[in-house]
Amino acid sequence: MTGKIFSRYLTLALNVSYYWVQYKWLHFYSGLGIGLTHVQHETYGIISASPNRFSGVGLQFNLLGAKIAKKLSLMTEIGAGYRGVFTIGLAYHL
Amino acid sequence: MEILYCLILIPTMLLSQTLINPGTIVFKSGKIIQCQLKGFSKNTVWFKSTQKSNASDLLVLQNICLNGTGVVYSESEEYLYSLDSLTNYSSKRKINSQISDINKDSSNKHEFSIAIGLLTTATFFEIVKAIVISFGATESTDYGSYQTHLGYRYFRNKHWIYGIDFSYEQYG
Repeated sequence: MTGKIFSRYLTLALNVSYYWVQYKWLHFYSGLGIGLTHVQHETYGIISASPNRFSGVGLQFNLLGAKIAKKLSLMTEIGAGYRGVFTIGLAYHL
Repeated sequence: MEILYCLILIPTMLLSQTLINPGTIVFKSGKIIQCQLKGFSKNTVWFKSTQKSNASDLLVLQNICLNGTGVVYSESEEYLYSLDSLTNYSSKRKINSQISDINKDSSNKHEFSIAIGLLTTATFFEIVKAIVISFGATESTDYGSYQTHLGYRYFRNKHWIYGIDFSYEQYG
């Protein structure tokens, strides 16, 4: 019988980015984020000695981000941390 | 109070990243007005002042002091001055035509974002582990995960951006 672990990670973090290139509507940037991550594990079919709920430091290293910068922007990022490895999203600039 | 005459030799792009504090403009006539950096676009630096001046004075706007502190601010009485490469005064007409450029500038703006992680960090390392250790990705196929985040960004100036992230990741 194979056991399973189901996990949730909730992170609230502060982020700083540096824009290397801002050529008209094409922007490139890198950044770093640090905050608090709350982890919740649920185990099925296995007995785990580690705690099911705990909090710790959450980090994000954003190696390279690219943005098509308009009022409504399209962005994609490569990095590692609480925002994953590859990210794609939308941004609205006030 | 120190007057930085050498500033006229500094490229405008460098200056635009330096003049983020309220300061003072010194005119040829000797008059000193307090001012506040309003923004910058291309080769033009913009100041907002509560005091009006005449064109002959404005020809020597290159004498800028960064040590001014108190800014007299009034919404009802303000004037925009610009410096083209810190040497020539731009006409009022040109000021009006370039105000839109200031508004397009990314400084002091707010941005809200929503994004989806196409590959979570946990899954990524599971795949790497499966490939490196067991030379097969069968272990990682048991896992499904997704990650999403909401973000807020505050554009402090053209290059540095601060923000807050809220992220949720589900794995397993």
